[in-house]
Amino acid sequence: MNTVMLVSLVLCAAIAIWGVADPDSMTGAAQWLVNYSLTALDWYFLALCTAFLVIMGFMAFSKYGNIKLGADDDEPEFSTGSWVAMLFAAGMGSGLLFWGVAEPIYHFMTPPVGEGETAMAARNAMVITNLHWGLHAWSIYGCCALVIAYFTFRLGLPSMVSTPILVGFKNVFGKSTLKQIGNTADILAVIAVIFGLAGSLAMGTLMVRSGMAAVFDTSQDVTMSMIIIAVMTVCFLLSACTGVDKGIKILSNINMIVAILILLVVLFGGPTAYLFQSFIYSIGDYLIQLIPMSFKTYAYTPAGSWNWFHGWTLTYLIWWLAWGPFVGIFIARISRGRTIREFVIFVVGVPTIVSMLWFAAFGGAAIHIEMFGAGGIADKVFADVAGALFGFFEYFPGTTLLNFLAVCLIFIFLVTSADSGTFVISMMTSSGSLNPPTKLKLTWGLIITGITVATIVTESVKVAKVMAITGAIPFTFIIILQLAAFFRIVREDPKIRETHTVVRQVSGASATDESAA
Amino acid sequence: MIKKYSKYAIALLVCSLLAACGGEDRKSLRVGAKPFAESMILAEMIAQMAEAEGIPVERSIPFGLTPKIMEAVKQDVLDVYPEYNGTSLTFLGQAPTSDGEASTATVEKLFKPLGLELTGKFGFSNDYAMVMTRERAKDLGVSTIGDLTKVSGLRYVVDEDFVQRPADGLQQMNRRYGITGSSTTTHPVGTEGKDKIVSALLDGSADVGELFMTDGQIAEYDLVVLTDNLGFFPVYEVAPLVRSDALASLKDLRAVLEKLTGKITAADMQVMNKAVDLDAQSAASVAANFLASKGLLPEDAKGSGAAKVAVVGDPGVVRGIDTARALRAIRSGYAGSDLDLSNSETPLETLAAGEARVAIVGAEAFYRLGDEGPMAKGLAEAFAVLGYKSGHLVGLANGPDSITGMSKIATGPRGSGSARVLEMLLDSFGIADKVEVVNSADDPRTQLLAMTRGSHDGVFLMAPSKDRAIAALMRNGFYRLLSLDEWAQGGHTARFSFIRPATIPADTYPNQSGAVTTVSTQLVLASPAKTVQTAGEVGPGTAGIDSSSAIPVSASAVESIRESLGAMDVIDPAIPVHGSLVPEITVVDKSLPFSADVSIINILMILFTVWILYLVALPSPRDFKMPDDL
Repeated sequence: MNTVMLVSLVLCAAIAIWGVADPDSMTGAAQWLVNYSLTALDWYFLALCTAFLVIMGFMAFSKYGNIKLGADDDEPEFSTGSWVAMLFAAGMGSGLLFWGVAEPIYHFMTPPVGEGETAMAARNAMVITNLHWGLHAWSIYGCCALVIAYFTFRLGLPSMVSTPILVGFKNVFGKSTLKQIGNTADILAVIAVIFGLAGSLAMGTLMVRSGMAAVFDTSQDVTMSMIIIAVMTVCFLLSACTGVDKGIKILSNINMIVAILILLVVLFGGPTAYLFQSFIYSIGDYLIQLIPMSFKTYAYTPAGSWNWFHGWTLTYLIWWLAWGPFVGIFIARISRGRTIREFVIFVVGVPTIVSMLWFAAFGGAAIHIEMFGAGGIADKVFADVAGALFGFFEYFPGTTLLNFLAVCLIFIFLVTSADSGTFVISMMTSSGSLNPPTKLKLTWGLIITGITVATIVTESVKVAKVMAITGAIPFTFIIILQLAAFFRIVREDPKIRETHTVVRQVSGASATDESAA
Repeated sequence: MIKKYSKYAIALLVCSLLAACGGEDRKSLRVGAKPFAESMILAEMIAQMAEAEGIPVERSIPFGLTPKIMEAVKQDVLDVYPEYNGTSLTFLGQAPTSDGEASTATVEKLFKPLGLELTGKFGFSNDYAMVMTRERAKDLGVSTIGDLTKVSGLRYVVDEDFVQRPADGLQQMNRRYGITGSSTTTHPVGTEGKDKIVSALLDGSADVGELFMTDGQIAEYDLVVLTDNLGFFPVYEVAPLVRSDALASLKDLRAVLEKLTGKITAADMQVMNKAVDLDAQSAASVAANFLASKGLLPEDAKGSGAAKVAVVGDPGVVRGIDTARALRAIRSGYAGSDLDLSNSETPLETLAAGEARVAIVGAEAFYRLGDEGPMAKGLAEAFAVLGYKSGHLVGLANGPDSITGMSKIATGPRGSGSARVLEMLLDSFGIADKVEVVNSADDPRTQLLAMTRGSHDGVFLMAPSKDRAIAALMRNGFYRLLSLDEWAQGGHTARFSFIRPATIPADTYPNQSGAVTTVSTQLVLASPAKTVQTAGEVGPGTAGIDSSSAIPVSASAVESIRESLGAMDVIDPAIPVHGSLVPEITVVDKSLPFSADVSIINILMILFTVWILYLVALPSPRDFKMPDDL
């Protein structure tokens, strides 16, 4: 057992015991840290996430884009379809189902500025939602993943959060400092992943439960949650035993297909032309608003809208940061053999477009119902966010089928999240092995199940969620360090060195051409 | 891999889209209703029965009054709505008749060329009822419509539809009976209008009102139905009026409608109308419950539709015309929900615990008695005024003259507005130790009778001024209304500002000797108090959390509830007010806000960023290997 594993276990146990024994003081402390950071440093977090987006753009559209994540002759390990399917399953998963209807409706009814339930509010609702789920979100993942992927596959080093820091700064810091920073980074990452995962598994369980109540009329109590967790645990442990190229891949592909199916039913079983109008409209609005929104700190609006800004935009950004170590390592793991340009297009660009279509369909239909139709969606959203999707399906043909598919989808998302989560934690606690031993995966799987059960039994979902966000704040420093290390190394990449000379030759040639002309 | 799956995906997609198209291919049933409870309940029954048979339904419930809705089925805008044969006859220009079978036969014959049919009757007849309060009928000596000719300056209160009807409306009735010199007030059709009609009768601003035989209000308020001695009103048996082409294209429709034939009695209908008009249930859930109880829909359909919104009142808040108005207003803030009115000795505590969404309470409920007088509880905020309750201190005609002379006073049950205010009055007068308070849930009549038998010297009740029950009891002259003059003097109002001095004008009650000074409190709707909001209490992080705790009534719900209640007084300044009604104040801080810790953290972050940029600028390591011996 190595240091990282030991310290992580002890810290997890300590935090879990605190959370169960005195959830109020624990949430109070975590909430204080989050609120304080948000109040004092909101501008920094926004600027940082925007910087990630800029970095992603720069990596894709400069000479760095040609670098391959792997040896120059490596072929991609997974087909593009499976790759994108796994990206979604790991990165957003049930979140898209959870918020697809609810979020646009929230912003439409109670916008941060201006009056609700107007055409303007509807447009802004889509822009805000896309801001939260679009380029920024995926750039955060992209940065986390790119660094790891580069060090793992290009340089053939262990797939650890600490690796870039250890290598990139080895001529800057002393050995003991390096070791301390490295271990801290790994431990913070493990803890962030464990609590992020436990929190989202707990939320996902509740959503499956309310979905099952809608479809099969089952009860909504703790026993039901336990049954769901038990079935889920069996499924993900089975899947975990098979490795990434079987279990997660097959499940992600099934998920992708079911999700596309639901999306198509909503698109073509609802006001089809209107939904495409809404999609096209939202692309334009998003592009125009992207730069202002990327920097919008609500400095000149009443203090009330800061609450909104902290509660929504920043909370989302920090969520994505919290998931960064987990999703980042996982995305890195499945991206071998892609060039950086390809990586950015498929990790940042494609998911953004897909999620915009998703929100245009779900949010657009919901807004249509509120603005032009029977109404009643907003009430359902405000009454129970977890059940909003199922209420939404009542307006569509084949409600029962849709509900059933959605429940299956959320359930499989839960399984894949848990599976990829344990996979990542096992990687991080086995010195970065790309195929960690099954025994280790089962151990971590059971620990995560245990924390999820404790969260649900003690009804401390709030603890888990606050914890997930809290872990992200110290981890932010690690990401920044990782990126700095990455830049220090990547500029020395043979490919870049080569192009330097090539560029010089080409420019010399063109200079001659010009003088000749 | 994707290719392998895509086959299944396409197959699945095609299946589900086919299923979707299948739904649109089949014509849906467009169900309409007139804008009052009975029509809406019956239309809901048709809609729900059709849905149970798999017929898709578009609801226009309510749609409009008779002229509009009848035109809508003729013009193929609606397929079906519940219609009364008597109404149809008069709208088709026929003489109304009191023979139901003949009436239906005529109507069917006339509707046929229009492509309309009446299917099986629901089983009851809802004739017009001219109603009066029992006292007023007794005073004027009226028991039939014919008797109205004897009354001069007759004041009618009717709905708008009744004055527009071509053959069986008010003008025609007056002509048939030879009633002259009457004045008429009209109110909109529907529940609100019926309330206004009943209110007008109860407060004596009108003599004769127009309701339907199946209206729940008749029994609820003990109204007298005047006999139609000349047989002026035709029978109004209800049946679905449906387009023949809808019956042809939706093959199960006729069977669905036949299932409802003869299933509803007038008594059933009265109960259902009361549930909607007075108990603020939704027409949809009342219909679903009835269908389930008759075995027409499976039991699990019962109540599946509407969400429940709990409303709590103190034990003195009982169902009546004021609560009905309040409940309906609350329902307008929670569209599509059923309301559940319960009583609690501590309504605001119930509210704060999240067990109810809205409370109907008097101003006194916002305070508790501490050692130093009233203490604000701070649990709830008022957002709309329902009215006022005045203190009625009733003593025996030959008993003590004032509250200070009494030794035992009966009042409402523990926790009721009457009991709370009495307790506060006695406390402020400093006689709480001397006077024994008897809490009792008995009605005022029983309490007053007990007083004549000497069980106590006074009865204290908080009630609307001109309370009917009290007025009826004051008739016999055994009792008198005592004044609470003392309250306005001696600083009581300074301590208990929310119990305000008020006057019950002379002649409000029978045998009242002049104006009586008393106290009054405001009756309001209250929401749980808003907790202090911090970052993280909005947004995605809060979703699905704490759904059990008290949620304040939203600003938009407050707005629609207030709108539904109409013009109202300002909330008593002694009561905490809902946030959405408080003007927004931005505090101007004259100095620039500064906090050292925030500045330091910002400095550290900036230094960190600069340091990182510096690190990036330092020369790169020579090789890309892991440092060994770490």
